[in-house]
Amino acid sequence: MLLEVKNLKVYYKTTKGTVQAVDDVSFSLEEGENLGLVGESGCGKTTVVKTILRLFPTNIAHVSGTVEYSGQNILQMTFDELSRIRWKEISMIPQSAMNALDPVYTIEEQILEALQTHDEISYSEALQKIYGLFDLVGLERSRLKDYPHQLSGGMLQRACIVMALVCSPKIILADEPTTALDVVVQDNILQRINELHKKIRASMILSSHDISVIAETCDRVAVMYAGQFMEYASSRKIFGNPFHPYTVGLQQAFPNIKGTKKKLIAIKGYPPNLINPPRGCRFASRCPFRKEACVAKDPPLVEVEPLHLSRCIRSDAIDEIRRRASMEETWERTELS
Amino acid sequence: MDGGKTESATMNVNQDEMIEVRDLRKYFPLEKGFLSSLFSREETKFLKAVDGISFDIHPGEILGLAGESGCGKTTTAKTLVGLYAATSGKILFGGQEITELMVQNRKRWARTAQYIFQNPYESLNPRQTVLDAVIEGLRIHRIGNREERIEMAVQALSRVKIMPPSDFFDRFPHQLSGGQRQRISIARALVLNPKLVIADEPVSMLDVSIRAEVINLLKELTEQMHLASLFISHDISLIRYICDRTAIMYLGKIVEIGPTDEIIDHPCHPYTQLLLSAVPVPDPEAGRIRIKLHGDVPNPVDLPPGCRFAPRCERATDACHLYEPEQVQVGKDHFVLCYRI
Repeated sequence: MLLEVKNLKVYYKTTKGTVQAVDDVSFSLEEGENLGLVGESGCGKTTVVKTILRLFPTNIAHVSGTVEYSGQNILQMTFDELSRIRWKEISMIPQSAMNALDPVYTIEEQILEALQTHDEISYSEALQKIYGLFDLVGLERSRLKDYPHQLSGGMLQRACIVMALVCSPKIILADEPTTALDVVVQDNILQRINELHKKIRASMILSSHDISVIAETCDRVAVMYAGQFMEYASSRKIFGNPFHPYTVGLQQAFPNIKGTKKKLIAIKGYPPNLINPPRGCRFASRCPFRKEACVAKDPPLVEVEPLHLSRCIRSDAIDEIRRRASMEETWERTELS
Repeated sequence: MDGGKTESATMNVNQDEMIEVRDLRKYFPLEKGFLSSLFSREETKFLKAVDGISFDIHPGEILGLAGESGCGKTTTAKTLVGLYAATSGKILFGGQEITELMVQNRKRWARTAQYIFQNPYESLNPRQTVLDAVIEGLRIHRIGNREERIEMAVQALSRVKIMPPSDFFDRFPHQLSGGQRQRISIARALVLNPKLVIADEPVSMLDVSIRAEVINLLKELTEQMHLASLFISHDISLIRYICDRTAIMYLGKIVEIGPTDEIIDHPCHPYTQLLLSAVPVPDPEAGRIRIKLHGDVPNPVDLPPGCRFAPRCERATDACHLYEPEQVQVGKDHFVLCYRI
């Protein structure tokens, strides 16, 4: 096991109260594995990703749980120990990476900074390494001397991928890496990520709201909602054999370029306020299958089949749930606040 | 180009409210620097955002306009609604040419053509209540008295399933979810009873689980209110679900246009094929055959001669690099801008 996260809780302080952004999340990452974090805005996936590198905003209120990397808890490391992990062992491709680059420095200067801060390496060696990665991601070598504004969105993203790979990390965290990109460029980048993954054998945690991107790149998938994992299993099981109503609903709301065209069904309503999360299942307010018991107590993650966890107490009724879920009327209800 | 005009007789639609676009062009002059304006004899360069496109939108149908960023779809939309003046070409409504009228009297055209913006967090005035936002158009056009306007607002909000409407009258945008805001934007557009509705990426900023709600609503409204709708999106998977016909744009040209299912199942233009092959599928078991791409998108200001897609096209011949292709009919209502079908 490369990385193990246990009972992670991350809360933020805001003027309106404390937001329980991540509330008891646990997962592991094996070597060479791609883990997908799927969820919509506000579900906590970006917080999870940033916490792994201990990138906290100033209004952090509470962090508990463990993030174990190579036997050490990242959350308890000294700053020196953390510096040795950051970028060298674990790196990140941030969301809208194209906006993450400094506009007043060339690409070369920025990548070199990443490389030389963490490694004793001569300029010529560094250059060779960078060129190798440029070729790998399909960036023209001449672009190295350009400024960010001279590159297109897709090129910038690729430059950020190079920057994330340049220290040969063991884990790459990609936070919505293709969200701001056009579909052809996105496809290109995803292809590269997959090829790179085979070549450099780093593990990856990829967060996205786009389930098709996750389906095509990840081995295991965690479906997040309102700060918690709703379902956690292999990609095949999540897509082929979903157990949680949210997962089922999400797939029905998602358009597919292939296959039979069934009318898309939305999940009405919106996620709960995480300042005072509701008692019981956090998806209950939008779930057509909820029962009294769902709101009475917080549902735990249970194993519904080997290596497949779901946070739903109604997993025994899954066949009926799936049957009813495919009907539009099931999800037809006035919005709930 | 005749995309979609041929079979009108069998379509049982009101010809009087059809939108026809013929050879539309919108060029943006690029500003020269001060010194070069003074001293250089260089001709002004143009960004040819839209470079000769033609299409029809029939009442009761949704035409999809798909393409990647920079292809000209938003410029097309804004020209259609009168926010930009066309550089050349014709726009007709109900058989009447309105290309100049719609810009000279944009207010009047606003009663016919309404726009729904992409960003629900920016397109509603944060200081206006829901009621004020929805009836503002009625006030500007001096339609009805206060009571009548409220009644029309009730109808519009009901149509977009904001229920009960009166509960929402006094709410401000910040009290609403993204999905609700977008639906209110639609209500605001509908209250004037437009004939043409242009939705520019109306759901791309909404959560995935609620996008379906808004696009199903757009489809329903188009049918019920017999609107001519233009749906702009970079998401072809989404277009598949609500657009009757689709036009694929590339660097200011429509490279393919036809019935959506046809285009998706039997894409003819190399760019369409590339675009479709690049769409990810939410199924880990589905293998995808990707088309290899050569090169990057050319600079839209310095376009090479010949077909715009030629530099990246696998099938390009010498002729493709020299001469711009012409429209070819490849099926019922299905047209492609390519020599190499």
